[in-house]
Amino acid sequence: MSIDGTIAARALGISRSRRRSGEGIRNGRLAMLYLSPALLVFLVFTIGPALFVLYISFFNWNLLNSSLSRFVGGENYSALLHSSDFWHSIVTSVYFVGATVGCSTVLGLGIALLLSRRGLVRRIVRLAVFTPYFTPLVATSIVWVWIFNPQFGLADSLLRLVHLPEVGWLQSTTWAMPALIVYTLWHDLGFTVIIFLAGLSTVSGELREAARVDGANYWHEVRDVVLPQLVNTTLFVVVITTIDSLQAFTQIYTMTGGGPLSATTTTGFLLYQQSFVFYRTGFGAAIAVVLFVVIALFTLIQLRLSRRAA
Amino acid sequence: MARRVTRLRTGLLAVLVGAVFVFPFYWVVVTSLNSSNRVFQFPPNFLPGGVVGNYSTAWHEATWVRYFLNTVLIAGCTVALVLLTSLLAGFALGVMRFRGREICFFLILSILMIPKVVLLIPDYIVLKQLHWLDTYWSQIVPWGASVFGIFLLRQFFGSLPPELIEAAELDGASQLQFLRTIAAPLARPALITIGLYIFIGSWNSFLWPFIMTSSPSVQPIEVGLSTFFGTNGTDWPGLSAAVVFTTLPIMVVFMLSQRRLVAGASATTGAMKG
Amino acid sequence: MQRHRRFIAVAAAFAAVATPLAASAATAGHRANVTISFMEAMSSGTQKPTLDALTQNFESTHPGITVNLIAEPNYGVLQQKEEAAVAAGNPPTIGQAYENWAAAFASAKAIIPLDGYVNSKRVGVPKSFKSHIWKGVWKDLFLPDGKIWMWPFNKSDYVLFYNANMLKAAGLSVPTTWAQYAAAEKKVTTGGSWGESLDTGTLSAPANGTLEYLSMVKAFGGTWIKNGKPTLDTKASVEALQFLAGLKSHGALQVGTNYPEQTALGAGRSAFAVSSIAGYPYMLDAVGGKFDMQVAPLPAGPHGGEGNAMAGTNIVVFANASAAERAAAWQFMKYLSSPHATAYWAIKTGYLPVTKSALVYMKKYIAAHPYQKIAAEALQYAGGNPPYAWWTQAEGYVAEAMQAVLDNGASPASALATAQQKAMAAAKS
Repeated sequence: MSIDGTIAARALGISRSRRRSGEGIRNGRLAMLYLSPALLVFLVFTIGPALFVLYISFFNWNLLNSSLSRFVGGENYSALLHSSDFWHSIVTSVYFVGATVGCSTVLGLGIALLLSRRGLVRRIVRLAVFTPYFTPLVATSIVWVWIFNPQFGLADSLLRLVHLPEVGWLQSTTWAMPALIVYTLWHDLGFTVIIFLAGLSTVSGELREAARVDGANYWHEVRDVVLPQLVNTTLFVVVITTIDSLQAFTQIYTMTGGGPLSATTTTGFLLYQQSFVFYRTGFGAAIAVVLFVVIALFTLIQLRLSRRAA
Repeated sequence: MARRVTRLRTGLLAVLVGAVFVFPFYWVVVTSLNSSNRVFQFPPNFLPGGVVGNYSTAWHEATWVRYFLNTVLIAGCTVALVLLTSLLAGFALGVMRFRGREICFFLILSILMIPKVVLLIPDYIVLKQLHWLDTYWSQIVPWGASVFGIFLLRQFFGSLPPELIEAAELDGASQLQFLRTIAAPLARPALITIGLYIFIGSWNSFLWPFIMTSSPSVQPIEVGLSTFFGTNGTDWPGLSAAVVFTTLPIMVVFMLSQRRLVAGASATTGAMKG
Repeated sequence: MQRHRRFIAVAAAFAAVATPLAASAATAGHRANVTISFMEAMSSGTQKPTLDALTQNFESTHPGITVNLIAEPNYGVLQQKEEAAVAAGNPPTIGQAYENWAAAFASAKAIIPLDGYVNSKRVGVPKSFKSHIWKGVWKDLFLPDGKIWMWPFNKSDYVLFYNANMLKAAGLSVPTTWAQYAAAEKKVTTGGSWGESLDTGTLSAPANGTLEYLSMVKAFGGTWIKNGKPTLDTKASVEALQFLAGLKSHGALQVGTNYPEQTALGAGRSAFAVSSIAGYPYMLDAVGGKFDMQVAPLPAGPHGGEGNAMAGTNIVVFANASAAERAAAWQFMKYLSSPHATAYWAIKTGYLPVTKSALVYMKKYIAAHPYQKIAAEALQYAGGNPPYAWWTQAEGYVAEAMQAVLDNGASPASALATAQQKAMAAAKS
């Protein structure tokens, strides 16, 4: 399938009739066949179970012995709407996702800019920044639990060294979430930085040069030349980090257990807690359904935005 | 002159950033070489204590080689399966034209944003019916399709120049041939990025293998690590030693392949610009 | 060639028929082998090898029974695994369980009552066993319906660890009442030292600190439950929490995570640590011989009341087990609670023997570790987890109340009122 061959063929005016007759490569007749492997996995392990979750959200479901479950209609949902724990978890989720995505994007871009030049030092630092992303979550969150250990951990020791008041970190209702966010950023910035570095490498060098010649300083160069060319990359980063942070679980489980006083109980964690710790499976299922609706809406908005920007 | 000063300043800043990221690893190594009672000292102990015994204790606590091999096997198979399903689905959604294409894509995208933890119990029941509990299958197949993979490949295939497709049609290529011989090789950078993302995801998985398996013969490495969170106390130095030899292999793999990975990411983002 | 081939064919056919016959002939002398599975969380430190040894000993004295140990890293995971297994219909034969887990399992008909086995003339326990088992441990085996649903295995309770050097330097004697304890804590709080560190835990995972508080409530004359309903805001409960809040505001009490009582005592920063006796090996490790660590019983309350919380689990038998498996499991459970076995378990792991009659086999050990006897005797009055499924949540609300008071300075009365309200709601559903 050489390019020469196709140019020749076109030059000879060989017709496009095959495409017009609907047998071309874009033909969607077999689309379902191509989609079936993925759809099969989804159906059995995601869609099916999700429908089951929807089903049990209308029951007072007995996890241990399903035959003892009771149909309660919309009771779980109304309990949900009246539950302060639920609304608190929504606020907590917004806090966590907003801060993580925001910092991830800004810091990711900043660090990428810092590391985009050539040089051995830059290359080594790049490696250092990427490495946490590739290390296991459980292992590394354990290390940070210990860094954040009140009084005895490194964080408080450092505070003591510079004569600042010690903080309870994972024990404090104010600082537990920031601590969690710091860990998440430490672990995931590597990915964001890679993406931004890649994006930066496609920014036209000539335009940047031209801006500099025009007398723009570094910040103007970044703002007026670099950023506009990174819109797609940025949107991609925002979408991926949003998805990832909405699904965050392991670090909450390992580092704070949702506490203290539910300060780090995101809606996803609340769901786990209600279903698997307190046996309120039907209620947990209702939370799951609501969470899904929220995410679906959010995805729709993001897709619309990306289409407009593209 | 000003340029050089700036370069020095930014260089130092870069080193500082790097140090912040690397420090926790250094800290873990230091602790793994200390004894229990020196773990929480003030002023903090920044120097290793030369207690190598922790490593041999931690090594004997669990069958690490087996855990490691399990993790590699599971991650590798998951990547292969995801690449296959994503290629096919991404092609269908990005190139083919059919009614309901956008709705299909949107549904897939939103369904898969449900955190898997939600589906833990129903999936456990499904896997039990399939007799896949306590096997490798339960850790691979349920993860065999990925939003990220389908999303990325749909974007990539959707931005292929129409001339390329027309040229292939004129050459008499069928859909599958086009996918196999032209589109997939072109998508190599995206495939590398997806493979990387999925490999890491599989490596990091914790709650799922925990619930779905019980024998060390099929469990991955994060499960092995959790045995150090004991019932009445935590063996910090032992834990640190275990953390070191569970993260070291993946770090080495990463360092050896990082250039490829970055190149893959570059090409992917480049393709997305179009 | 032909003859050769035919010979091989005949030989193969013969072998095919003969092998199973030979095999069954060999096993004909054995009774059928029963395999049972035991899901447990005794996987750290000396616990694992000790349980392995006990199991092997049991198997060698009971040919025909094989016990598969399924070790989980800690109780949190154990509970999840057991739940998931029951939900999917494939639970192990037996498993460790706290009293409130057993209550949930029983109401879901997932476990069986043990009265038939305990009181059986053929395989039951002798009357002497029932009179020698610690009273608190025995009472703990029942659910509110009056039947025995659990059998004891690993029991511990709370004791006071202290830094003897530090107390001597401050001219203090070992406190025997909580009031003395408060005074002692305040006295040692100077410079870089303080009284004790505790961890309340979280809503889904209450920790030692919560159980220390609950022990105090008992000592102050309060109750945790009454008539099957929670009583988290009694006068004694508020007093006990106020007591801790006072120490916190003085700086004598610090709050932390991940066994901070071990960390603080081990680092020589705190004078006291309240922890389960099963934490003894970890305490010793953290101290590392830097000073003289001693053990005392928990102090008594203002009116001489003794209060202690029993930690550790019992064993339950899951309903899916066949009759043969249940019988075999009962033999194993009985064995684990027999005086010799429970003495061995206690000596090796720091848990307590479940029966008084084990103490005679532990004379040498107790001479070297007198605290074990102290802790074991507290099992006479120690209270186990109330056997109600909603206790899991209620205990979580207690931990939250403690957090609100100790971390955020809330008033004990209002924090406990909130906890009581939430616990009542959980108890109703």
